[in-house]
Amino acid sequence: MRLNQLAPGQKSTVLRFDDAMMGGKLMSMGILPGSKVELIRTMSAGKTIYVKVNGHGLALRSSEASKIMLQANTH
Amino acid sequence: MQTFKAALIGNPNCGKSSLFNQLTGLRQKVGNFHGVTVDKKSGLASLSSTEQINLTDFPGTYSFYPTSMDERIVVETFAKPSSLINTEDNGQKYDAIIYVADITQLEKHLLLFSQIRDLGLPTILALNMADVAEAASIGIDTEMLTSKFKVPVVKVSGRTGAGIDDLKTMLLQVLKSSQATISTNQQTYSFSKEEQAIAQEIQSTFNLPSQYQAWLWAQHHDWLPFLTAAQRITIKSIVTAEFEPLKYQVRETMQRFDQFVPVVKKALTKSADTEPTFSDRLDRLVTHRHMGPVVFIGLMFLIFQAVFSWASYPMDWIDAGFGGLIDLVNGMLPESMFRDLLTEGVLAGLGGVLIFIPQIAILFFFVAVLEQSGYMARAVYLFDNSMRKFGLNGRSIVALVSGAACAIPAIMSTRTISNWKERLVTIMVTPLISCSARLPVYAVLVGFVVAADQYWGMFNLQGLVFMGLYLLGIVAALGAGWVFNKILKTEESGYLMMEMPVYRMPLIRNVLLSVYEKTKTFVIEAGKVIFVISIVLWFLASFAPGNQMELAEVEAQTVATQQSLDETATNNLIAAKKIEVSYAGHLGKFIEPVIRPLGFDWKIGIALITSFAAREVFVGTMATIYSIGSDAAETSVIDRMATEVDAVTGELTYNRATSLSLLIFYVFAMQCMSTLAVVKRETKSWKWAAIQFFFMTALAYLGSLVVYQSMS
Repeated sequence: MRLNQLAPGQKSTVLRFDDAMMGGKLMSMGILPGSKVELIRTMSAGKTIYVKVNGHGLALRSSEASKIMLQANTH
Repeated sequence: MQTFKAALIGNPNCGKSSLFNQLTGLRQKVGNFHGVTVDKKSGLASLSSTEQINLTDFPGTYSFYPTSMDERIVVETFAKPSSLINTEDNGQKYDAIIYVADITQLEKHLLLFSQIRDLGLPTILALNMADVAEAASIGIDTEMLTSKFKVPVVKVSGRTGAGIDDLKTMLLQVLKSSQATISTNQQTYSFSKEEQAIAQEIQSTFNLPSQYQAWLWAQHHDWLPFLTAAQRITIKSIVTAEFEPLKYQVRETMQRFDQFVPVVKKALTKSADTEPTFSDRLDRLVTHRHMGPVVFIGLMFLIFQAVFSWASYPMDWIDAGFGGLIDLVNGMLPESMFRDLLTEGVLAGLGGVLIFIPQIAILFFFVAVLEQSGYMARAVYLFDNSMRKFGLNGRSIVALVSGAACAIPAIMSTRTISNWKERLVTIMVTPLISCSARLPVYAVLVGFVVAADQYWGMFNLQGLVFMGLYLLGIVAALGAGWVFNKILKTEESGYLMMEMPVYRMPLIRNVLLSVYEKTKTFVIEAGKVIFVISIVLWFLASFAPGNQMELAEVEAQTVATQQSLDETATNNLIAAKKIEVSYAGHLGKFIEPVIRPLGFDWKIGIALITSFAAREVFVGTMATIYSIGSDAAETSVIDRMATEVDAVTGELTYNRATSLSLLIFYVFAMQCMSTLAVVKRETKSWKWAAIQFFFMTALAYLGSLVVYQSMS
């Protein structure tokens, strides 16, 4: 499961990053393995997504979000 | 008075600017960081009657692993040995660092703090947004943080000013107790064996003050601009082929978070509320996939409505003020070349710059409100994907909106775009957005295209043409972006990754400071060029080869006597004859064959040339050419233009075809030397400025050609 595959309102937890470069940047912004994520809504047919990471708002391109692997259990 | 040097550092959206404004008040100035064009804000803050600090505000940065130009500044500065220790040739080191973190986002704001601290400089941790935290009943144990992080910790609020005095007192203590040397014995990051070996060798080879600084050299030696070629080669030989910067970066980041997150969790007491906040509810509308863009367009409509209606009053005052000043100087000084240079060159040039201030300031006021309230981040989210189709980034929206005031500050705002190609395309297309200097030209010419009282249904046709010209500029910008996107190739990937901060009421003080800075940028950057060109143009219009000026005057006098004209009419006729034979007139006639297919005669040619100072010079030039005196009112310029007959075709010069053709030319053409100079500076080469000049001029020429040829 990847972050861009969540439906609006779904929550999960970050497991790891698929891409070290992207991972490095995301980690600098406070997105870490273990962070709680929630997909709020999407724009442009899912090309841009609005998520909350540990409660803080963040906008990502779907190409960026697809590098974030999530734990299997979403709720 | 002893002056210490201090740095203000923190993540984006930590409220650093408010704190900086609180500390320094209006005693701040904007300069450039050495060798780069990123703005460096610094200001003085007094700590006691005998001590003050010179505080530098660094761009918001997440870590020592930068992604944009703005972010590179912090690591570049602190990778320099001279920032940590006093050196003979590079002056004063930083005596202390104030690290600003938002209490409500503390868990993610401390990465850079832990990196900064490893450099060994005395650091104070300022926990900002104390007022917001209190309102949200978030408690923080500062003593625990002090003992765990081994730095002084203070709660402050950049908004209310609470805690600022405590911060100053603490700063004074730190500065007094630790003036001597940096302390490098408590690095929090523990290197792996291989990392340790590399850092140690670089540190001893180059005699660096801190081991973590040596590590920064290892990580960033490819681009750190102050390293010499020889130093780079030496570092490359030390780091060896197995050096995996990304792996090390991830290791370091994880380890640092692992160290401070548990501490923060312990020190924070949060009330567990899951109620949707005001921000969440507002976002349901503002970031809604359909309603969001509607809200954005509505906001833009209201803003531009306000800009036009509010700015017209101060613009009239400035216009009248300069008119009065010119009359005053003309009355006080005897008639001479010098007086003419002063009034028609210098004062007219100055007036041409200052007249734009109201529009520019009002639009930047709204841009600052949108940015500081958090709305701009939503607009970036809404349009990122659409923008990418045109080679732009969501962040380009800030430049495009600002471009409606003035392209210069707009182009400078692109520094937050990390991808070079997206940033370059934004820079290239922003000047196509109709800026405030185009408006006076539109206002004069639109009347020749459609009459003021023509309506299409309930819409005033002139208003529609005006709107059409703006839309044409936007469409051209996007179209040009699309073409650049196809031509330019890049390996570097673009990023959005942008925080959506909680909505906050903007502080009027911060908004006004931002307006002041951007307007000042316009006055200085555009002003100096407009000023110089105005004077050059005055010379071109006032002098002629040989004795043609004298001959023209005699000829005009003869005609005037024959037709028994009064004194004003005679003087105006002389002025018209003079500009015809002047160097400017010769230039206009020289380019006439080229612009004839667009429906322009040599008189319009002169106006096109003089427009290179600033587009609105068009109106003043028209007044001079049509011999109605350069201080004539706009309506009399329009009246005179309406009766002008083309010497070649025998028809009215400003018929619908020529006027529309000329309007189109002004929408597209690159007629702003100041913008070209800024593009050169921001892209570090004349190449892009030249490409921009040629593609915009070609677009203008072709656009006008098509319009004129199809209409006449």
